[in-house]
Amino acid sequence: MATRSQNATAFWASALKWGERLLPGLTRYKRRESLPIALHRKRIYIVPTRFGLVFGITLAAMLLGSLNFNNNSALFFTFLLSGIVFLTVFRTANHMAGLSLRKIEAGPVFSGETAIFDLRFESPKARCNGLRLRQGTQTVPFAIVDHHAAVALPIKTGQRGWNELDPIIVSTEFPLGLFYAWSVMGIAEPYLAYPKPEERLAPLQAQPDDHRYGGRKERREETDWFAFRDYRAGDPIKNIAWKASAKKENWLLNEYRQPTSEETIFDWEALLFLEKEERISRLTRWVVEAGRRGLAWQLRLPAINLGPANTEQHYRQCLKQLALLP
Amino acid sequence: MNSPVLGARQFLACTLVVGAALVLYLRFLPALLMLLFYSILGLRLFWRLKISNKPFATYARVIAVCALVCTVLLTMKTVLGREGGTALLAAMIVIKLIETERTRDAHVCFIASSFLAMSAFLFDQSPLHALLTLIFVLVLIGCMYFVQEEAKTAAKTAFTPILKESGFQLALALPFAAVCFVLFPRLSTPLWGSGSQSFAKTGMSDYMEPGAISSLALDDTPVMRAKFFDRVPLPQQMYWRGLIFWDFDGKAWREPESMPWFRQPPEIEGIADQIQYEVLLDPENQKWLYLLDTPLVAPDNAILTQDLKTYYPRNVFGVMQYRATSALRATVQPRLPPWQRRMALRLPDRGNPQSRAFGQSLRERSNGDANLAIAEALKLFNQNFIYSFETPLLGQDPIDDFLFNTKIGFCEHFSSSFTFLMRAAGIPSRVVVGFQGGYFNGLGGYWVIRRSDAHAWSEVWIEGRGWVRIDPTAAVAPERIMRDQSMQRQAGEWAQNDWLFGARERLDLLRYYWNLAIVQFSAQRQTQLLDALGITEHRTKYLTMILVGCGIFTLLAALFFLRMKTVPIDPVLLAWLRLTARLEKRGAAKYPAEAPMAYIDRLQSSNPELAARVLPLAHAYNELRYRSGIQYEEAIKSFIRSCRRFRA
Repeated sequence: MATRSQNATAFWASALKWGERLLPGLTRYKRRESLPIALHRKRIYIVPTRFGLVFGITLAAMLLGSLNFNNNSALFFTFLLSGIVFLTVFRTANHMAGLSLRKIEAGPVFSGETAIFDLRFESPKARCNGLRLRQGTQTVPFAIVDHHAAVALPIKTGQRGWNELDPIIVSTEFPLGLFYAWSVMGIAEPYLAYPKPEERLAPLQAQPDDHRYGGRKERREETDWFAFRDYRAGDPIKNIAWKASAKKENWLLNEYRQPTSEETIFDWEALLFLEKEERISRLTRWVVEAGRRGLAWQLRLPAINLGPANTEQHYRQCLKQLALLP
Repeated sequence: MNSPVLGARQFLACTLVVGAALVLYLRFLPALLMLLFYSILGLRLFWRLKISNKPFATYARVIAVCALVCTVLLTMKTVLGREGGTALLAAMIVIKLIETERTRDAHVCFIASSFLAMSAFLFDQSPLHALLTLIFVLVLIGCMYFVQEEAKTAAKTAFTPILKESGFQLALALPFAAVCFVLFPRLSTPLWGSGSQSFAKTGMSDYMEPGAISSLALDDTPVMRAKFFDRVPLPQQMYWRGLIFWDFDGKAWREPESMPWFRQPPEIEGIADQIQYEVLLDPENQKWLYLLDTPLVAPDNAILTQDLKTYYPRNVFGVMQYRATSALRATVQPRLPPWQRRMALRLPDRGNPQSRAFGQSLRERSNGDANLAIAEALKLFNQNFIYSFETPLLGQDPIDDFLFNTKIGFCEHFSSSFTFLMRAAGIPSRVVVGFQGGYFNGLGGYWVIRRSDAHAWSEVWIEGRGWVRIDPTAAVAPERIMRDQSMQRQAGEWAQNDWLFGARERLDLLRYYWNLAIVQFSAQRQTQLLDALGITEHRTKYLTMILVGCGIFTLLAALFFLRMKTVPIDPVLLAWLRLTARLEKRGAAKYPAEAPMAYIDRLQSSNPELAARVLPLAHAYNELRYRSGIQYEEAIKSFIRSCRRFRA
């Protein structure tokens, strides 16, 4: 028995795999492409929705009834509705045709958090309603207005280092909700996820015993609020100033800062008592913290020394090197 | 997974669809029921828009459901059959709307409303009703579109694009529907039921009881439309023969019991003045057709009986078109078989003694001369009787009461009493009912016969002349038979306007063509159409044609819809290419695959001055391509502008 059920499972698994290979455009086997990705009719798939199915069954019943009673008006009515349903297939499929994904942007993205990716679409159609983006469990509705659309898609980021985006599914049920058309966009361009910063902020103190410590004896609370600034793609959601944002058109971010000129050194070697990933995590947190407070810092990694500096570029460079550590 | 909750406007759209489907039933379901439906609809809408977006509380729902089901049961008595079934379906849709909350519920409402709208055609297939249904389809498509669009995008949708969209869809679906309609195989026999319950309309009854109230007389509904091919009979010659009554029980006239050997045409001699014509008969639940007197050739599938009734073996369901040939002059049954003679003389054992005695005296006075007896009887009618639809009720002996007491009546009274007198006088006779006359529609070139043209007359058998038509009504009120038959004159003073009559005639014409093209289209007609196209081997070629037709249509539709709009060429690239094309004329050609900076580098050596001027543009181009975070729209515009203004 056991072997038989195992066989069955294996059979279904292989059948699924075979099916997926047969129709790669439908599935995760879709080859990744570089931007821009334009949708054309060969890669748009369509199936009826549940509403469409039930409507179709009802139409069949209506057909049978009107044929049986030889009621030509009813028959014509049935054919008229069937015609509308039939043409909807083309309308739905065509609704997405020509849509192209031009650009994907995201600000600094940390591993493990949900970052907002900014997707730019273009379409030959001036207006195009009722489109949806799906990635994983996230679904975002959007519409083409004046040939363009910008969609903010929250994506759960992967491991530190270079990551590939999971395929994005563009779909629509336009115009009557009878059919579901979709297309899979596998994006070849990888994105860089910075390491996950440690949650608890360890004192910015690399080594307590010698001059190479940085940090401050007394740490200011995180609530050292500095200013609001506009939300930028990729900013951590937890820093959004919800109350202040509610009054504005765009989102505002709380910014914490402690301007200082003191130089701080974050040393890989000094944290050897930690596991490798924990070490990376702590260093990341320190870099983030230092960046936020506007400190100048130096990062010493096994192969490379960075800084000291307190520029945006330095900040990014540090995070990138941390992300790409073997 | 739960579907999204409907917004207020979406709920309104859903209610609109249900309301529109119910409009189709206003004329067919009891007013009380319709009132209840609409008040519940209104209440529910008010609740949703003004009070709460939750459905009614459970107890309120239970009350509403009970009220609806009870009202349906009380008003309809049954939930079976056409009226009961549709009333129940309508009630169920209203109940569904009571609990409608999500998109899924709205979808159920849409589907059920479509079914309800289709069922309304069981009641009426007139063009007006079809127009109403077309409006329903517009509403349905518009609301489906609206609900789906509002659900998927947060923005409010305007009214005009929805109307445009649904109109567009309808216009595209019409040819598809027409192709399917013509080519889709029909059933020659119904799969279940009699197939006729759809038209339980009360037509002409199969018995005649003078003195009972006649509702046909004032009913202007068209029954049939006739087109004559070459010769048109005079209006007073247009007797459309329906049923022939032989049996009289003292009150009512009935057809004889159906006997197989009765079902063959009688002997007809001396045929003259043949008329060929085509009739489009409106649905009436009946097993006979109306043919012009004297019918010679029955339509396909129909049988002429001994007494020249046109028997149609199946119930006539749906509008029916037929061709027939009749003769204005003929001698029917010059030799009357004795058994038929006995049938045509039979009188009830008792009753109407005065009339019997009068018949006897007629016989004695005429001395066996039938013509004399007939003339005498007609003279009696002509002198003493009044033609009117307002007749007093007749007593126990209706013939006596009518002939010697009330003396007011219409065709039924006259033909009934005349036939009775003839039988009493020993002359074989029978009653014929059908239609007399008609109105000429000049636009369509056909005659309309309405229910109000229903008529009854007598036939007597005279030695040497066979069955002879005698219309006692003509003796009383010749204007009934001789009246001017054009629609316009007939309508009287109340409407003198020409356009009104024009409109009336046109409307009837529309109805005629609608019936001709849509309502009466049948398997037989489809076969004829295919025959006309040269397809006689039905089964296979038939299907091929359907497939080819639909295939071609599908292809055309697909091509039309999926003619791919090309993605517009990137305006930045276009501006850059145009610029370099202009530079090419100045002898500074760019290679097709050359990047801007490489091009500038090359230009540097040949034309440094030009290179310096183009450089900022090349930079701008590169920035637009590769740098993020610039003001995209603005930068594009300024780049295109400077490219265009660049003069080499």
